[in-house]
Amino acid sequence: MEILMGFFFILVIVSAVAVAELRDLLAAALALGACGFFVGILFFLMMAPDLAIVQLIVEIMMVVVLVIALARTHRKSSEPESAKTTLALGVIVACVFILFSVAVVPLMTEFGSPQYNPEVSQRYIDEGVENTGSQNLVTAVLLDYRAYDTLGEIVVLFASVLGMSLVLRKVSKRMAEGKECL
Amino acid sequence: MNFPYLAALALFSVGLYCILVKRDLFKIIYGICLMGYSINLLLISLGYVWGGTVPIISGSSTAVPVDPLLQAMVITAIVIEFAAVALMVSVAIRLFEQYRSTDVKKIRRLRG
Amino acid sequence: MSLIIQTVSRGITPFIFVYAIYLILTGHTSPGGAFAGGVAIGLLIVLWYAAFKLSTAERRVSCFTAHAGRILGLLGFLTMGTIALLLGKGFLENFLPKVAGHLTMSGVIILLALGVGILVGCETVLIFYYLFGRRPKGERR
Repeated sequence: MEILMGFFFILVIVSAVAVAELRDLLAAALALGACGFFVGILFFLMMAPDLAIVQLIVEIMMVVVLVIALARTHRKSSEPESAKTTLALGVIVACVFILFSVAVVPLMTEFGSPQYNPEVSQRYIDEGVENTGSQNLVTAVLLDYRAYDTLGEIVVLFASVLGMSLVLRKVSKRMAEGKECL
Repeated sequence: MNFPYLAALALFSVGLYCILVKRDLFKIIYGICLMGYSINLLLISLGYVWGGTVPIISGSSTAVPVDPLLQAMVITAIVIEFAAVALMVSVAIRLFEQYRSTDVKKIRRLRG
Repeated sequence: MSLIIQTVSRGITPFIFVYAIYLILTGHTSPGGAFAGGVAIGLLIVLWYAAFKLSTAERRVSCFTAHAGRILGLLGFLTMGTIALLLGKGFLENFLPKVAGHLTMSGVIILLALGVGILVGCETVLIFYYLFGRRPKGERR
């Protein structure tokens, strides 16, 4: 299990580097999809099947949205920053990575050990089924204990689609003539 | 053995690099996506317990389930991230129609 | 848009729909949940768009229906919370009888899941319609 997880973590990072470095935006979007699928598999390996389902379906949607957007714009990525700036920023990001991995990660609890704050989660695990009548504790937390969170989330979704309707209000000439974008 | 935390941190660094160095709007959106994945992975690996089962209680099993609270929060985060990406993409399309380019250096000029 | 793709997509449409409804309605006993189910409903639009034309998808789920659905989902969610408030409980509290492990007796969870599922599905449909450059009838610039 450990080796399998490590393998998929490496795949996630490799595809993330591909996303950052590919010059073709369509290829980078597909690499982003691959990265999301590996993240979904990792969720499944870490005992979160609900999350795996949501991540896989949302990832498909995200790739489709990006492909439609690229069809409406163009495929070729613009030039990155100059070589000197790239090197300087890369060194800064690498320094931040090394600093955090040396200073912060050793302070965190060991991977797979019982938790930092067990009280809340332990209460949900112990009493969740009697309190809510839901065997799936994730749904119990999502729609019963913390329904306010879900309310806030669906309001955010509502507002973002409202924003899209405002931003994409003006239709380009080709589409106004009734042609389809792809 | 903290490799999931290190991997999540590395993914975050790649996303940050992508945002800082690339000048294409779509590359910046991809970098934000990568950072979102890394945060989700970090939260889920914080909640994992060795030998834990899925947080679905059936019958009277004595196995320890993994943390359901973090999973519920990450579900919320994934869906909100999707909505945010859709909004960002529509802004990028709008900017392309106005300036015929997605380079952030070229769309600096204000135009009505 | 070949004949094979059209026939296959016509065949698998009901299965995807049933799977989405299953994910929404049994989120409390098995993995799944309202969000996954809602987004799966939205994926049907992409399938119809890829296999047929956009007008076919619009004839099945019009922009008006999607707008009505998302408002209905949000109002349903808020109504469930308000009913609990009127009955003397807290906002969004579970006020219906609940039996652990029963398929339908999980109180208000199943109704809230239905509201969230309808809302998320309609939002996804609308995201695609806006990206395809369509606007609901009667909305002028």
